Parts: sequence; C-alpha cells; structure tokens
Amino acid sequence: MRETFVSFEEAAFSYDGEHFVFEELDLAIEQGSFTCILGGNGSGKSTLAKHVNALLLPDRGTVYTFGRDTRDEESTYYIRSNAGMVFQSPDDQLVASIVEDDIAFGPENLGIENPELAQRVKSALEEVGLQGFEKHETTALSGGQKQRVAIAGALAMDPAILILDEASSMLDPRGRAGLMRVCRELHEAGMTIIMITHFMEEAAHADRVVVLDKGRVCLDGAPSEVLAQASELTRLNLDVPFACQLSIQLQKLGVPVATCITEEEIKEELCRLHSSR
Amino acid sequence: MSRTALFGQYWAGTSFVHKMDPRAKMLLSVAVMAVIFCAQGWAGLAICAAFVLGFYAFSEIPLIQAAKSIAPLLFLVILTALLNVFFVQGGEIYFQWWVICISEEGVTHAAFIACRLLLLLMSASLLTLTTTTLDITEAFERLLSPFARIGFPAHELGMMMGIALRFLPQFMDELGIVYRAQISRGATLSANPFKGGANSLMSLIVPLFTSAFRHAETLSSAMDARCYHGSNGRTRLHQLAYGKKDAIGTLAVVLMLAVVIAANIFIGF
Amino acid sequence: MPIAFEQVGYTYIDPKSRKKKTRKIERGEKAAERGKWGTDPDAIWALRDIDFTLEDGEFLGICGHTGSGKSTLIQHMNGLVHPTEGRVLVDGEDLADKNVAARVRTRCGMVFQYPEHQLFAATVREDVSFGPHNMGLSANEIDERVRESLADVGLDYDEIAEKSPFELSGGQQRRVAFAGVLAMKPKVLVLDEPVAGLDPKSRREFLELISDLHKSGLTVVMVSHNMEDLASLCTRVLVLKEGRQFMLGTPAEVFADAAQLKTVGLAAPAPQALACELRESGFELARSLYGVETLAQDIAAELGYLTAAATKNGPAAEEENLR
Repeated sequence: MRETFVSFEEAAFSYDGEHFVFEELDLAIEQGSFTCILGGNGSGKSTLAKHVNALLLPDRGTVYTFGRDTRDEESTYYIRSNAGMVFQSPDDQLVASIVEDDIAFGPENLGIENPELAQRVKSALEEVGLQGFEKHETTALSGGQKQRVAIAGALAMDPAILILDEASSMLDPRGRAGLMRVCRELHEAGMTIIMITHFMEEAAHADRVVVLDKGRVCLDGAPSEVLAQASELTRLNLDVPFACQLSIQLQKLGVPVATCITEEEIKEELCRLHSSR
Repeated sequence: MSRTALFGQYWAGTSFVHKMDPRAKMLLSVAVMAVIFCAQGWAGLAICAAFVLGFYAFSEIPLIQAAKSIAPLLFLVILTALLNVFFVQGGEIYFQWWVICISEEGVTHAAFIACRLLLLLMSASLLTLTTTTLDITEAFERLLSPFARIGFPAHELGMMMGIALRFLPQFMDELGIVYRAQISRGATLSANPFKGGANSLMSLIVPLFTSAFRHAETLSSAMDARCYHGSNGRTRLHQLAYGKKDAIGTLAVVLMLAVVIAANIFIGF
Repeated sequence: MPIAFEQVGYTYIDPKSRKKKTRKIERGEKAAERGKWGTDPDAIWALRDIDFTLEDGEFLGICGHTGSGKSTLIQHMNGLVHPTEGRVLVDGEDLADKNVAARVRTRCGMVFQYPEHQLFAATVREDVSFGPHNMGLSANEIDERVRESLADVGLDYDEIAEKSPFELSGGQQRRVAFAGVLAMKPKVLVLDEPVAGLDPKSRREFLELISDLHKSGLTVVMVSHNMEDLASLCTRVLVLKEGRQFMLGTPAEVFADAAQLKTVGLAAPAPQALACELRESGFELARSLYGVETLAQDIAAELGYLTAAATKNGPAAEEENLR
C-alpha cells in the first residue's frame, strides 16, 4: 500500500488573523503521485503549497508531511530537505551566481560532505538535462534554464516530494515544455510531484487534479474526470482545455465523441469515426 | 553570445588568478591597493600599473572587458580629478576666471590622483571578476571568523555580501527597463536627472526599491525551503586550501611593494 | 501615424566598431555582409532586414521565441533604440532625429512586460498623471485624462485614485500601469506580453480591454507567445526568426502552415494545429484558419453528422468563435 506523504486535517490559515485563505481544508497526497493543484488568483493554492514544507504553519488544524506535524520545530529541516520547492519567479530564487554553487546550496546547509556533495550536484544537473552547465553564470541563463537549475537545487537535497509553485507561469512555451518534460521524467523515476499551476495542458499530464476555490477543494480526481467538467471550470474562472471545448461542440452537433482532455485523444477518437464512416 | 563584464560580476574562467584561494586573493587585493597608495611618484605609479596589468594578463580577462567593468565608476575618477584641478594651486597658471583657477600643480596632481584611483578600481574589480560571489562570501567569512567568537556576525555579513553581489547585475538590468519605460512616458531623465524634477528621479528609484523587496521576499522563502540556518553545520562544495599559486601571488605582490618602495626612494618623482 | 521600417538592422556591438561596419557597408559590401549571418563574431545582429509598415488602425501581433528580437524591434517604434542600419519613419519623418523621437515618444505608448513593476507614485492618480505631466499639460487637462484613462481600463476613479498603487491586487496594478500609458492619448499602443503571469480570468479580461482599445481606433502592436490570442485578435501577424522577418501576413496566412511554424519553435493555435493533423489523416477541411466552433462544424460535416451548408457562417462568426 502506498504511504500518505502529505495530509491536511481541518487546516485553517490566514495571513492577517481575519480573512482565512482556507478553513477546514482536508487533503491527502500519496507517495508517487503527480498532483496538479489548479485555481484562480486568491484560491489559496500557493498558500497551500507553502504549508507542505512548513514555510507556513496552519493557524488551526494540522498539516502532516511524512507523518510529521509541520508545527514541530524538530521536524522542520527533515521536512524541508525531503520536500523540495521551486518558486514562481526564475530571478528571485537562485542564491548564487554560478550554477553549481547554487545547486550545492541546499546540501551544504544539510551538512553533506564531499565527495557526496559534488556527486549530488552532478547527478542533479543530469536529471534536469543541464549537464555541462556547472560553471555557467545563473544570470546568463534563460528563464526555463533558471527554473531547471532551481529544480536541480531542490533535487540535490535528495527529496521525496517536489513542489512546483507556479514554476512555469513566467516562462515562454519552450521553457514551459522543458520544465514539464523534466517533471514527467522525475515522476516516472518515482518522485512525488505537487504542481501548482493554471495551465490546463500541464494538468492534463498529471495523474490527479485538485481544483481549489476560495480555500475549498471543489473538484478532485483524475484529469479525465476533472478537466472534462467544462461548466464547472468556467464557473471557477479557469480555462477549459481545447480538446474538451471541441468535444463538447461536437457533441452538440450530434457527433458521438467522448469528452476528451488532450489533443491526442480527440484526434484518435475522430480518426476512428472517420475510418468507420 | 556577447558578454559584457559589469563591476562586481564574475567573469568565468580557469586562469591562474581564478584558481587562487579566494582568501588569498582578497588579502592580496587589499595589499595591492595599499601598495598603490604607497606609490608617491609617477614612477611608482607606473610600476603599479605594470603590475596590475600583469595581474590582468594572468587572469586572462580581455582588457576591454576590464575597462567596461569599471566604466560605470569612471565618474568618480573624473569628479575627484576635477576637484583636484580646482582646489590644488601652485606653479604656472594656465587659466583664471572669477574664482576658478587652473594651475600646473592642480593639473598634475589631478592626473596623478585619477590614475591612482583608476588603478585602485582595477584591482578591486579584478577580485570580483575572478572570484565567484559565494567564494568572496566564504573568504570574507573565513577571514573574519576569528572574530565570530566575540559575537561578530561574520557568516551573516558574508552571506549578505554574496547576495548583494548576486543581485547587482539583475538590478542593473531592471534599472535599464524601468529607465526605458519612464522615458517612454515622457520623463526627462536623459539630459539631467534634476531638470525633470524630483518626480522623474523617484520614478526610477521607487520601482528599484519595490523590486528589491519583491526579490527579498521570495529569496528568503527559497533559502528557508533549502534549509538555510546560518553557518552551523554548513559544508562547502569547494573546500578552501592555500596552495602554490597563492604563494606565487603573494610573492608577486611583495615584489611589487619592494619595487614601489625602491622607486619612491631612488627616483622620487 | 504609420510607422515604416525600412531595411532595419540592429546590433549590440559597441558604437566604435559599429561605425566601422557602417562605413564598410557604404563602400558597397552590404551583400557580402549579409551572407555572413552567424559566422562573423563581431556581427551579432539582434535584427536584420526588417521591412514593413505598421498601418493606422491595424492590430499587429509579433511572435517568435525568446531571443528572436521581438523586444528590440518594438523599442524601435518610439525611438528608444535606433537602428544600426536602415531607418524607421513615423509619418514620413526619420526617428533618428532627436526632435522627431521626442515628439513621437508620447504618441506611441509603450507598455513593457510586467508594467506594474514600474509603478512609483504615492497615489494612483499621481502615477497615472506622470505621463501627461511630462507632456506639460494643464492641471485640468491632466485631471480629465486621469479620470478618462482609469475609466478606460475599468477602474473606478473615486474609489481608487487616492489609494497607493502598492495596496492593489496584481491585476489592478497592471491596469493602473496601463492607464498611465493611455493617459498620454497615444495613437499607437505597443504591448510586450501584456498578459504574462496573469491567471486565466484576468487574462481574458485584459485581452478584452485591449480588443476594445483597438476597436476605439488605436493602432495596437502586441508581442505574445500565445498563438490563440494572436489568431483571435490580430489583423496581421509578424513571425520573427533570429532577428529576421520569417512570416508576415494575416493570421490565416501565417497559421495555415503548422509545420512551417514548428521550424521556428512555435505551435499554431490549437484548433488550427489539430485541423492540420486531421487533414493529414484524410479529413477534408477547407478553411484556412480554424476556431473551436468552426472546426467542430466542419468535422461534424465531414463525418456526415451535419450538412455542409450549415457550416457557412462567414468570417464574422469565425472571428467570434475563436474567442
């Protein structure tokens, strides 16, 4: 049976003591899952992410990461080193001017000694496809590369969970595709991934999608279930994936297609209909 | 890709100077600056210049890039020179009008001070061009760590310095963007920052500050997320160790000092 | 206020060697220079051979992946950047002339990426009035323009004018920054990725705002990575590749060939891309540019669920559907 890595139990949080970002939030995330958390601005998705690695602590209720209460100060470094986080802005989160120094920052804080330290830096760079960039200056990298360096910096701590807090929102399509590829490869290798985003095409590749609205979980399930709920997504001010829009239009015109969420699916579906005509 | 060196920005390389221990480099660049101050005449200064250029040669940094890296600070040099031209008097008078009087001594003194300042800037720049910010931080921290026992925050200061240097080029970029944006809104910044009134100046400074705060917020979260908790139990990817290169470097600086002192004594102008 | 680019090239190399280069070109070695793209280490051209005219009232989309010269190109439009070779003419006047550039600057409103990062004043009113103030307008006129431009971006003057811009939400801040540019009453509005980093809802609202501004008579230039947005809003699209004009035409012309776009690392708008793929699988789809609804109709017709006549809705409906 798969272990529960993160669980929110009736968690409540507010920045100012009055306006709660979420109240009574219940959510469990399993080992090895690829969970996408969707929601508009102010839905509380980034706040939720920061609770996973104890950057924020719940006002009421409890958040357990790896079975440990995030409020327990003894566990803070254990949790943070095992739940790596990548932030939104590529320019703000790199600490050092040189790629390898930045990646080493996390494990250095954990007191990892050479040669393991150097080995971790090297393999982290390989995992994000940036081998050979060790001595590059971080300021000269593209946005997508910077975010991959940030992922490598998290990976060098050898985490069990990787949290991406809107990590792709400031990237161009190419950078975003690269970031997504890295995430999928990591997931296939066993990494648990929590991805905060508002891009539907990214959510389509997850194996679970959670939609937040005003601090509540309002949709939760496989992408094929969640992303197909066009009217609900529209109500929550989210985009409806193109494939889903098209399937709904086709259904209106009487074409017997299932509600698809990716372009590949709908193309297959249509080709099948076309050849059987 | 084209690269330009900015003051304080690291110029990646594998030269002799790059490979020296950052602590040695730091101490030696302070020493070089002291030696430059020792030079009392043109001969001494010329010797200093020769040595500094020699150090640059060993660092394999193109001289054009070196010049570019200190270009933003040239106004300091010019300002100092001008002050000297106006305030130092003596010898033949070239030009006199109202309270302004330009004399022979003023000009030579100004030229001397300008050259000295230029050399000082170049030596300081060599350190930051050949040493990564984390190395500078580390060197700073290690050199000051004996004082940590009496409560001196060596590590914290080092970290602050490293981050300041890391964000410097970024702020330069951002300043460029804000500058162009405000120019596009008709701000008169190009000719004279004071002509457009305080508002025009504020339109550059405030966005820089807000951007600094924005960066700081994420950066501190990112450092927390990566388990940063001060120097306690922290290891380093690059261990520091004094080596042969540092000994050679030290010898070079000692030689420089000796030659400059000799020049001071025997040539004396 | 048409803006004409005539054989514009731009390089970042330092002015000294740039002068040498121009002299060489004057000696008639232009053709030889051109052939050396990417080989001559000195000639790092951010832009090369840009030649088109931005006409009044059009909505020009510019795309191309990072580093293709988009930002450099738009900064030529109000004289922030001057071409190394060729010239930019506004209303027939060369922007290289400082007086012309100064005059054009406020008539060509430039909205940079993340414009909210450039807010600086203590109140929204002061920030928005910065542009008009710099133009030397009277206090009354400035006040009127601030009210007007805040209304244009959908903000309530009475509610917001005396607030600090830094108290507002991200989306509102961007609106204020927008208003700051609109208050100069520009003829041309140049937008560099105006919706980057916004959530889907604010993105939609913003694009609507831009579309309204265009309809009210402004010439709009928009740099964007989002092909769907370009396809639905623009009257013309310019695709840049390594600083050169790769394609220039109506969205239908530019997006017709998904494979061609792929060679520069761009994807056609989703409906169009799917239409191209389906064609390869034997579907007969006649339109040159597809939106979601038109595609659904034509597919339904192709599969025999709908008579072909019902699909002929005309281009107006098509545009509507894309949105």
